[in-house]
Amino acid sequence: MKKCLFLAQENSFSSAEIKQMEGAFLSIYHQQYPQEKLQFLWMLSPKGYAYTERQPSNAVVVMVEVEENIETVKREELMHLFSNYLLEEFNISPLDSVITVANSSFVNAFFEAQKRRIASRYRPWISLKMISSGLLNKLSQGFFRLRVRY
Amino acid sequence: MPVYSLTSKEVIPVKQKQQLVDLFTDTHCNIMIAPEQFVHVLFSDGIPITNQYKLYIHANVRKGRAQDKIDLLVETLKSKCAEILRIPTEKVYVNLLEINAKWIMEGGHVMPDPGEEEEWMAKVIKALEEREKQSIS
Repeated sequence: MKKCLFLAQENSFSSAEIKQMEGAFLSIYHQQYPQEKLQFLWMLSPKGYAYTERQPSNAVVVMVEVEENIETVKREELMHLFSNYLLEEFNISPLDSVITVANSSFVNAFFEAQKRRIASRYRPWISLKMISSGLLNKLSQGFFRLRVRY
Repeated sequence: MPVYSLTSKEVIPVKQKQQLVDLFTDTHCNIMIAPEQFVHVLFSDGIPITNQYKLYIHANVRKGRAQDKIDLLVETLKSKCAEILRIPTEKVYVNLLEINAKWIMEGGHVMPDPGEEEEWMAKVIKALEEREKQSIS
């Protein structure tokens, strides 16, 4: 299963909007990879935890995992479709969105770095906390939310 | 891009966060010669960091910079962060992950390789101006 990570500000989207966005991103993704499943992860920053151009951020940063051998044309098409969707459906200016369509090796390295930052003896505890709160949020709000504060 | 993600055990006070945000923006733009419009800085806290570091910086930056610039960026960030947080430089860790610019879209256009921002920036501004005009009319 490939991953799709969203970084945005807390309260910038309702749960219904998040589910709508997940559905649309999956549908766009399936145009290139009809069989592939996507695991959506949301990191929603509270006030004071995300900045862009020195100011509190309004940006939406998305990282979508793809296979290593994706053609350049297909990668660019995906980026355009995702960016246009955010603009047309949520009025998110391209200046406020960062769309990364990254190979699995990069995405794995990114998540591995997230794990390695944690002191080894606390990793199981932090991972458990992350998974349990993510799942709890999935059950109550309908989407998997990663913690920013532990 | 770039996206700098800062992790600490302690909660960093707002004033120091702003100092860090300014530091990352200035340092990145001065050394990497990039527009500050796209410098993102994120914080997370409450995490016991590996090897007893006090601040763990994960940086996603575009691939293609000279090694001496990367070294200068890392060393500057480490020393200045240590100054702001009043901790020893050895307690700051920087993990830099380089990404192919062609995998990123920002401003509605695929990102340029480092050093080619001028043309890309002109395209982005033009596109936004056109969209602005369309929305008014």
